[in-house]
Amino acid sequence: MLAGATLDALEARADRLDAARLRSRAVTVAAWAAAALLVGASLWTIVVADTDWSRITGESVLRSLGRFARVDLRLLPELARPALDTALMATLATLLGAAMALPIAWLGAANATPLGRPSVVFARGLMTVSRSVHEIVWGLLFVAAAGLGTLAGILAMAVRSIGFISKTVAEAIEDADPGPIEAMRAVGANRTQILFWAILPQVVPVLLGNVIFEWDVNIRRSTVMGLVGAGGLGLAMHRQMAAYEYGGVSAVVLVVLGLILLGELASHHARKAIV
Amino acid sequence: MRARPSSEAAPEAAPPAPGARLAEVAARRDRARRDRTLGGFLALLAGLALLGFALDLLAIPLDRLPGVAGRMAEVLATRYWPPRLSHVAERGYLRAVFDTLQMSIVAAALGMALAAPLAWLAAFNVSPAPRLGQPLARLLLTAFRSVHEMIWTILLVTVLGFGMLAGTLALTLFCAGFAGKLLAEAVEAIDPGPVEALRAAGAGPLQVFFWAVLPQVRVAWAGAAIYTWDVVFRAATVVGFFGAGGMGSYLRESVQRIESQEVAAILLTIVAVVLAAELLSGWARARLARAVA
Amino acid sequence: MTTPVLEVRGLRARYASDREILKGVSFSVAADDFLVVIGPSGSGKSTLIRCVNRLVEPTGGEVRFRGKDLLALPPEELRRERRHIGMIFQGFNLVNRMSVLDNVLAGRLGYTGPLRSIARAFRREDNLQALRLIDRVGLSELVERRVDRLSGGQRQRVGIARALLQNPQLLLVDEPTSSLDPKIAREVMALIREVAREVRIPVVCNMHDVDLALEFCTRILGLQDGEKRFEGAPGELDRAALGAIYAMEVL
Repeated sequence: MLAGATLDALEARADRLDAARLRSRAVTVAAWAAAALLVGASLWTIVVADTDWSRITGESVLRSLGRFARVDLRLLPELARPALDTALMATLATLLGAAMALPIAWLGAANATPLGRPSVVFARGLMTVSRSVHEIVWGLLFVAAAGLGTLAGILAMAVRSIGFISKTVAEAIEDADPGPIEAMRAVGANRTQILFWAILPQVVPVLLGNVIFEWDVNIRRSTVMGLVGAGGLGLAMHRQMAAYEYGGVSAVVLVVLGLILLGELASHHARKAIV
Repeated sequence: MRARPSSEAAPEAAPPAPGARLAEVAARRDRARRDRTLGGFLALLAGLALLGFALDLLAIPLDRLPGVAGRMAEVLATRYWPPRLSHVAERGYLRAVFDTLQMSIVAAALGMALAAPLAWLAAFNVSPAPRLGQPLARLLLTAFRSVHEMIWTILLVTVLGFGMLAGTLALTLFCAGFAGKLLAEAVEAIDPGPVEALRAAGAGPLQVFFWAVLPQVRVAWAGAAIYTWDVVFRAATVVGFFGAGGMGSYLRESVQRIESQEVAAILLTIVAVVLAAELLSGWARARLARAVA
Repeated sequence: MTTPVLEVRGLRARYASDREILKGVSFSVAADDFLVVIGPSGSGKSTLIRCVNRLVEPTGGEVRFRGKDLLALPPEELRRERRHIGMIFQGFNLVNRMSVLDNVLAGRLGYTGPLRSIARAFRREDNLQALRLIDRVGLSELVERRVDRLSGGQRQRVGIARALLQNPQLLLVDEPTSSLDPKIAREVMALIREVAREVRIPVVCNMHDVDLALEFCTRILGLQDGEKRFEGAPGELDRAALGAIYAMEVL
């Protein structure tokens, strides 16, 4: 066990280790420096090249901030209804989105789909499109199709939610414990029966958990749908901005924060209840 | 509402005749099932009532609903087709795409830089200031995350004027909140052993972070960074709609001039670059997963 | 040695609002002691060890280490004192992705400034001493190996080296061998005893394996239900004493 290393041998070893460490350290530092350079160059473009600093003086910034700071608390009672609308929009949108997501999840799960491989690809494509298009863009599209108002917002958020819910449910279906499936097949069940009795019970908790999560996210999205004409607090904010009522805008933002906090509390407890 | 058959009955004292006992158990199960079915039915009624109330409150024109899909298809086919690709194939727009990319990179980087110390403070297992700093940091991260990035954009455009500066700052705040949550979750999931050992050896909170926490979360944090960039890029394509720079500003302009074919072209490019970003981030995360396996 | 290195008086502890885990335990440890704490599970052995360096906060009593009452110290001073107490853990508590050398060097963090710590640039003497200790515990070949590639016994040796790098005046050892198989357990215990003797520092160790305890200790402390039921030389631990420690409570 005792190698009997002399002081020289020990020092030599320490030196070797130090040199090796320095080399690998240099590589890491170089990589980080390159990344910092990239970010710095972009930052320079944004801050220096693109910004008209003559218009952003300390006083103009402070003035604007001051305007926002004078929160118009008188607006709060008027915001109760839009807040309720926002919450309801989010709820309906999540339910609708979940309903639309289920068949898509079914088609997108390789072990459960009745239509084979092409349907899986198609379904996954739908999920990706749903997630890649920003909710604002969906909002614009649905306002064009269904007119101004909360319906457009609900549809937009529903379609946006399809992606996440169906992706997680499809993955849950594909990751389902094969034991019960095997057992059902052994007693002669057909594909649909297997789906109902062996797969679905495993998937339902995942579905519920993710629906609650998505509901929480949709409350957040719901607050801005009104900015493109789809009702709720977003509309109130748009109106205040259009009238240059910055204090009013702050009031709306406060209500938004409060609504989201309530939503997070509710979703936190709801998720604990299912587990 | 389907009631599941109960799997156990309450334990009984010394049973009389087996037949009588079975009948009692069966009767109890029937009653339970009836209660559950009744309860489920009532819940369904309540749900429907709420739904009706909500629809009425929101003034949803249900009669318009069936036509929506058809009208959407009609609108897309007549007004948005064919997309005017010439509008996006010019230098100014390509510049805007590059701007969008730059905004997303800076926002992700600065957002992560801001989120890392906040996540450390907010994690309840290793926070260096558990009494005051921890709840404050948590609150700050939640506030950053709760306000939608478009709201941040509008607020900052008002204060700082149009352009990429406001957009980047707004996206940075969003990133800080979004990434902060992921980073804090990773920290809260670490093995407490090394943390305990280093504390026992007399290491200070900063040392504990760099020696016991960071090595354990390095991989998760790298994944979070990639994911955050992916999400912020999606938002960056749209912030221009509210006055910040990038592709969104073209979108706004075309929408205002009601040039739907231009809008179609812009939307197509937006979807295309977002898909590309998702592919890139997916590949990067897969590489990361392989590198640490 | 006249003054004991460690003097514990009336130590009390409880977790949250649960029942009391330690109900006033007192003992002292001299420089050449190898004190092993035994007792049934739930007796408070592990809590006792952790109370000494305040990984668990006691609710009452005194813990005098080299004359200073650790329980009265503010956080900064506690940190400074902890540098002189080495601890070896049941779960090894190493950073899995780091090398043996880095894990051992972590023992020196209490003596190293923040910038050096972050840059991992320890002083030359620290590096040399770490290598020496790694050699002493028999892991010379594995200096750069990642710790999660080592066996249980090897990992515990890393833990021992880390504790020793602190130049401690006391070693706290929490169930060092519970995760190891018997032969390796014996080797690890022998190593701990040897190195403690070499630098003349006391060991306070808790164990559930009485036979192993008897083999290596110089003194035994028996706990039951948070109270001291026995204190003395291993030879004095007879059937009656064992009964007092391990007696089952009447349900």
